[in-house]
Amino acid sequence: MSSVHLNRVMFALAVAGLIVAGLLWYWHAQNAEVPCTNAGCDQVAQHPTSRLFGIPVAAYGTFFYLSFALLCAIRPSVPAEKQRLFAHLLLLWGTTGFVVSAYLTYLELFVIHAICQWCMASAIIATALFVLSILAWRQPQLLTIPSEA
Amino acid sequence: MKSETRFLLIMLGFILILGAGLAALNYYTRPPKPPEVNPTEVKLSDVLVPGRPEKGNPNARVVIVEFSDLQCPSCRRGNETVEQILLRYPNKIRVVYRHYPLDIHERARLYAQAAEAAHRQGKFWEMQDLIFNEQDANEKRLEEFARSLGLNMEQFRKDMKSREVMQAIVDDLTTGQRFGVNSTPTYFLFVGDKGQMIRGHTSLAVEVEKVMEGE
Repeated sequence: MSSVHLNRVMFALAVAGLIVAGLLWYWHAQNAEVPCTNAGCDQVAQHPTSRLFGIPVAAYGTFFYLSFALLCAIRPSVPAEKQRLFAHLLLLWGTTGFVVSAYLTYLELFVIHAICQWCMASAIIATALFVLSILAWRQPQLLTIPSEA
Repeated sequence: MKSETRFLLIMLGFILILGAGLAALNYYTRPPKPPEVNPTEVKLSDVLVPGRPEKGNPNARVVIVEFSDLQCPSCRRGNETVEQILLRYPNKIRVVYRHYPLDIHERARLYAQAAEAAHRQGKFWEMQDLIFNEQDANEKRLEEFARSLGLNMEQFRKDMKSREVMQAIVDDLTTGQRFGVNSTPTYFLFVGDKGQMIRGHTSLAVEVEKVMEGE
């Protein structure tokens, strides 16, 4: 996959994650029922661990995906000497998302004992972003736009 | 700014604006909240719905509707107070239970689910007593309680996580919030259809005495 395509895929995934996390945040703020095929979503949403320092976990998720999408969007415009730094940043961010998602999934499975499908969707997206951020980091070539290079 | 960045930023902006718009639309078109009601104007039919756990004389004129949290220590003492009241006036009072699990109690909802699942098999009060006795049971211990009560375990586990049980708890909470409950235990004491809100179990004992004098 070319670096441009890889960047677009990461951007699209980050936007998908942004939608999922944004919806969860909105439902949490409205204290609304989370549409789910089982009772797991409400159980997770009502559990004390669904908030950290008084802020819903979904809000952190929203900012995580938003910043990831912004990083992907800005990347093609950064000067060549900063490209490496951005690849590092993406990898750092991808790893953070993956570790946090893994911890949240652990909480669902072993502490809350309920599965929220929306949270699982977010965890899968975060995992995919992590893998892609490694690929982007390993890519030797800089992110170049063929027509503008 | 390169065209790729511009393209991606426009996409992101579009998604954000769309999301904000939909959220605003959803927020402003949501059904209006029922108005807060003065607790002194509560009618029996407001807080009494069929299918909730109850004990005492089902035809009694004096009705206590309690909003309680199974992890709250004063609710445990409140339960003792209610028991004493029922012992003193065995045929004159009807007690109805409604859930009000507080967010500050980590396991209150779990306990409410367990008690509500036991209620589906006719053992609400027994489960309530077992939970109150320890008030630190985990999910495994709740299953032991259920087993000791002779419940059908498969049904119990299924009910505990079922939408119906969750909905029953949410309905109780919503009713409580609507009629001004914000701490536990909170009681509504009715004579006929006229009710009053009582916060805390010590006041309950006093008020019941007053009411029973007139009965």
